[in-house]
Amino acid sequence: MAEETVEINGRVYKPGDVIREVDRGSIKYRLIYGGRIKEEDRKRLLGERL
Amino acid sequence: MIEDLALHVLAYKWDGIFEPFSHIFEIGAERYFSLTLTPVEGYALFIIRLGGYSKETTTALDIFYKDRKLIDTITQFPDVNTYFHLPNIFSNLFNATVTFKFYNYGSTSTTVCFHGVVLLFEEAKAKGFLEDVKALAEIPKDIKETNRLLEELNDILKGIIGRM
Repeated sequence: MAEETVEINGRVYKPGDVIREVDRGSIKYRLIYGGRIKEEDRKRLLGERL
Repeated sequence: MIEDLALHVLAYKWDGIFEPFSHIFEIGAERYFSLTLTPVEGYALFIIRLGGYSKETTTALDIFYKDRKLIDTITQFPDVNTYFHLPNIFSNLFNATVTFKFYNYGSTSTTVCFHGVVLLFEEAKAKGFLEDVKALAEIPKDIKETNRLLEELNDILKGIIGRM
């Protein structure tokens, strides 16, 4: 499996793939796999946590 | 913030649709997921409740609307024993996608539970709803208008109760 992909319930997803979509008519929900956290985001989040 | 009951009656007045949601998902180590809420064209959404928790304390959350961050990053999304609310985004109407971006910056996977309630309106009615909410929230500024609204809400409530 490539570094950026993820396996959920036996299916492999790459960044940007929609894992779950729920359409309630007037509103739509989408759960999207983003991928690996970017280094700058990781540093920002760890820094802001301190 | 206005009282829940007033909010619910105003929603009734403006033909709002209550839409609760709950999503549970696992985020691998050093990965991120986005949960998007998109109103159908011609509708706007109003967020009235948000909450959630995560298994690990290495979960962070950003909320975006039209490429703009709505709140400061929550760097420690609550652990399993905690519940939270985000009061600062409750006075906006959104007629396009709102994105909740969850990061797991830890070295083990985590499970996130995220839930809330949104109110949906046709766009024209959404404006009326928001104006009423603001009028109620700004009581000292215009007491006459507020009193008129409260009387109107009272009549609507009586109507609802009368039909029960």
